[in-house]
Amino acid sequence: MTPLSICIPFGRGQDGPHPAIGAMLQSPRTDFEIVIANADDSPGQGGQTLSAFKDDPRLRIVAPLKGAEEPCDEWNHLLAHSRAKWITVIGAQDFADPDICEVLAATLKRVPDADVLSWGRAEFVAPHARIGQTIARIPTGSRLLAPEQTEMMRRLFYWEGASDRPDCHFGVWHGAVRRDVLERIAEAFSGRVFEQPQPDIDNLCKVTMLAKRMVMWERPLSVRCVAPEDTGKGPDLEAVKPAGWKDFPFRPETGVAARTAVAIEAFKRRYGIELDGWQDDFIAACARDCETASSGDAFHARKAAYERAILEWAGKRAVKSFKPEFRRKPKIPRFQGVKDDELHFDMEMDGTRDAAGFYRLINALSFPVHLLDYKLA
Amino acid sequence: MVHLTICLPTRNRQAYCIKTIAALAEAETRDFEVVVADNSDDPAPLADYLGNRLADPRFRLLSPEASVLPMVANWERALENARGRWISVIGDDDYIDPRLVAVIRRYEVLHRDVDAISWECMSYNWPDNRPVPTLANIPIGQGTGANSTEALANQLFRWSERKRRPSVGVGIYHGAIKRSLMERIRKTYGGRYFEHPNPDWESSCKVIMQARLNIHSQRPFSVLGACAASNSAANLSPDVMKQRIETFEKETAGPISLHRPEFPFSLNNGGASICLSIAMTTSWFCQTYGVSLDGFGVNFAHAAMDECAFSADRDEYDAKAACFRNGFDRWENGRWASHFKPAPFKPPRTINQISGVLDDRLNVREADIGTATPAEFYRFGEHAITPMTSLINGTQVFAL
Repeated sequence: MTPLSICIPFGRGQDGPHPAIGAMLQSPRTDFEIVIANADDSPGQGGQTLSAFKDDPRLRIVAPLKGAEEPCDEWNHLLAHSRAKWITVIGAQDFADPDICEVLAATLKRVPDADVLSWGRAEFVAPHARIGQTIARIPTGSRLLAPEQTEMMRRLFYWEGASDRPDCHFGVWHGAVRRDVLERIAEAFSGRVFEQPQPDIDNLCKVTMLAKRMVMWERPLSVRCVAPEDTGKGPDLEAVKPAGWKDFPFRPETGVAARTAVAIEAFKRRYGIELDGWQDDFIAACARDCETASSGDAFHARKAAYERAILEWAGKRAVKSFKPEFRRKPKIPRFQGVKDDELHFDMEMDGTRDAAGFYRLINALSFPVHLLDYKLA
Repeated sequence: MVHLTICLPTRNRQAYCIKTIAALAEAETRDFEVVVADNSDDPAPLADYLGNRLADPRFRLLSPEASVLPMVANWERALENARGRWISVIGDDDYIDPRLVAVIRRYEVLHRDVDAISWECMSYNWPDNRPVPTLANIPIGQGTGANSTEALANQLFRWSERKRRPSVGVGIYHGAIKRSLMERIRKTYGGRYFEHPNPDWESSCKVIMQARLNIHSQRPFSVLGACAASNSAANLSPDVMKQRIETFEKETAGPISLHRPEFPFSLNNGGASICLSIAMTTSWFCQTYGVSLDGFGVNFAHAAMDECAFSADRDEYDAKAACFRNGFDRWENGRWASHFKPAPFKPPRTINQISGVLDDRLNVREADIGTATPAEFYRFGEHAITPMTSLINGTQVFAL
């Protein structure tokens, strides 16, 4: 069985992932496949067509799903056609390193029963979408960690140690999950692996609940393309909030914290999970979400939206604890260098133009994948 | 008086030198000059480039003399022709940021007595010098402070760190020295700026002894380049090392011999290393000018063992070990020979491969980035370190 399927869902009318596919297929590896659904040979980003790769057996193009209504339908469709033991999902403008297979092999040598592999985050803003100087942050560590499931559940559902989003990334979205874990998810929940308007977070919740052995490599292995005022929309979804939630007045479009919270709530409500004690840390994440705004206007708009929602949701006392500060004053230069085990650098470095190019750069700046096994030996 | 003179001694590497000059000429700042001391067999390429194509008054050419000069003499004439208040020397395949002028001014305001400025250097292999996987590196520290003369002296003269190379980065080579200090050095040491065939490490010795205040910046201002024709390229291949030593010995013959009975190690019989070359220079300086060498014997034996540990294969290890052993046996009747006990050879698996952040440096796999010269690499690296404008303005607060 092929070790890894990289599934790339993309919506109708959206540019196809052709440059990323081209970059991934440059890998000499033969132990991965890329799965996409496409009906025609219309040009993707950069005007490239898929016919350029038609002779490469590592690319599997399946017929699009007829009558797909929600993004999760396409996710399920691609999963059904994938053949590998491990599954990862990325967006059309993202990039995943086929060397994930190398990391999986090194991981399974030490943790044979690993259910899910996560890795360091790396985000890229396309040059045309940047507002002023844009700083990239990538982790500098290269440790292979095996956190406890209970700790990850606290981080996800209780928002412990969260930034503007929970510090738990054990799902198929820019992670790799073993196929039998996904099959167990279908059995344990609704019969479908991916659900909800935001299948990335829905999957994160389910994997975190069902996966017993989680492994995290600190080094990035993929790149997510984001917009500067990204609300974490992720895999080209329309984050639609289910109707009838008067007691949770957060709107997904407010920010990544709200969007994540809405998706977690949707999961909890659907499966009757009630938790208490997470609200304070979630409010702190809302504040941090405001602080990531790249302009004063964006900061104030986001702050006001969160304030309204928090007031309605938890009252005046909760609003008092919500104190975001806008620190990105234009006259204060941005930090470049290493701080708290992260390398901060200007995204103009090496003039990269897309996620694949950006990955080539951060790959050159990071611990080499091929030495992981040697390092762990 | 111009504030900074960058001396660029060069010999027979005109193509690299022209690229280096072109990169320096891009600087907007006017308050510096570049003295190109050409010691090449063919004077035409640099004369044509500087005279006809560049025509920038900030650049002056010292044409080759009637016969080839020893390297130390070429450095000497470059210094003699420097007009700046501060002077720096780089190689013809290196790069230095001319905005250093503004940094020097700032340090002069902050530290009135400063007469020597040093910094951590980036390093970069030109694309033609990558016979094996190579790494460039970018120092990522951010501090600036005064160096302790005593600590520097222990590191350089007594090899207190016991590493293959002293971490001392002080001196005129990829450093900036005030003219008054260079004049004091000339007056103190035989009426010359440079005497020894290794003028870069010799300068470190003399600056440590004579500087009133050395300020060291962890932020880099220059790049140590290594092209296929450079001496440092020899680090990547023992065969190249042998050729380079032959050429080096031929072309560096000057007033001081590399080989002295007081330190009877040899660069000629294979197994030579930069570690040994530095030790030959520092021991010469200490013995000539009466600087204490207490502890040097044992420490250098450990440094030599460290050098042996950095061998790419068994042949290189054997050659280095034999070279050191032969020297230790002959030096002071074998007094330090028993301390030289190199660990058995272990085939390295990761030489030049561990990219990423390690020991305050960002190691970069050169083959995977788009830079073609040290200047381009410097600009590349500047995206990940404190911006020059912030340094010059004394910015203390940065937004994350």
